[in-house]
Amino acid sequence: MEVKKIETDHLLWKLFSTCFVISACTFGGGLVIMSMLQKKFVEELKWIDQDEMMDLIAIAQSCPGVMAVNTSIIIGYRVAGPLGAIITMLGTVTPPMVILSVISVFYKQFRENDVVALLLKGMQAGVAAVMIHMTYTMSANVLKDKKLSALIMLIGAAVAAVFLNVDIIVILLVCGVVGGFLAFYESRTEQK
Amino acid sequence: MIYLQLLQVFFLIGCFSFGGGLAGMELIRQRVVDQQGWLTTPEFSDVVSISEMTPGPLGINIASFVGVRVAGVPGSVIATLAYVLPSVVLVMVMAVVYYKYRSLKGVQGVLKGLRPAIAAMILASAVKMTCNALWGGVNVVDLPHTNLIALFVMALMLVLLHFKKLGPVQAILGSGVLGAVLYAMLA
Repeated sequence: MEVKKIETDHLLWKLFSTCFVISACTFGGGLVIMSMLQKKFVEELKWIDQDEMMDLIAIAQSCPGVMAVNTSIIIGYRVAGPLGAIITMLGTVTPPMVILSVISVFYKQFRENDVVALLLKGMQAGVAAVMIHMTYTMSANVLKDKKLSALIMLIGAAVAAVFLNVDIIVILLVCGVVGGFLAFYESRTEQK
Repeated sequence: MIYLQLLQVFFLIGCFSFGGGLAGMELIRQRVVDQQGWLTTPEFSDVVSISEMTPGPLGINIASFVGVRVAGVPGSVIATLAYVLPSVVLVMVMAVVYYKYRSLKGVQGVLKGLRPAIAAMILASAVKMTCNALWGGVNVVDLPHTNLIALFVMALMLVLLHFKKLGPVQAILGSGVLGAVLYAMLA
């Protein structure tokens, strides 16, 4: 019993440090962190096999929140239960929290630096371009089945969000309910 | 009480941040900029850019940044943890369901329904970020006073994103460097 407990301590520490290091060193957001986690836990540590990992990623993706955090939570849960999930979450969240807190404190000085100000101004255009491109890819993906219902929901939601300033949460709830209902209805008609 | 307010706002954001990263941006922007006034739109755009320069997911970065600005280090911890708390609970519930039934069909139906809404949210965010880059805000749209450098950088990045499969991180960082050089030379 005694030995096993020490091993568990090690396990939690290993979970924490692995997620901490990956989160601290990985630039480029969710997908990159996710594939790093996959490499580490599937290929290096061999704690989770590839098929199971794919399912775990699908679950992480279907929950709200940040992909990278969700993925680390479910890996932690798989390896060491609820405590593991909390440990991996903390490991993933701590580095960006510390870094951004520091930046936030020095934001004013940081922003007033001429070079930084110009860089940030330039990046505003980049952020806009990325969002426009994402709108295009996302909409194309939504409309690829050529379903009228998807088109109506897309236009309705866009009008509500851009012109009517409807609360995003309301839009998500309405679309989620309608989508769930449509999926249910479709599966019923397919069965007949 | 400001801590409670941070907790409430970021917990709610955490519950409804579907689609990840940039897709969830509009929800955060609406709460943090429009409703609470914790950041201005240009500041918000800065945080998104800073996010691309530092490791870590966008949502966490924004929660930490806003938390510190509004209520110091405790604020940062509260905002960040409030933001991930719904994920911790939901992911674990889903994991339990998964290991019990090995099927996620019903959930996938709802998620499919959410996709048009997520696309619309990204669109709303795109409109606001474009207005911010070209005119400095949504309410000051004025065609003769378009920021031409921003327009040029934006168009170039769009072409590269679409035809050269440039990554979003590279596009934002690249536009920073290119924009800085152009602003320094021309403006």
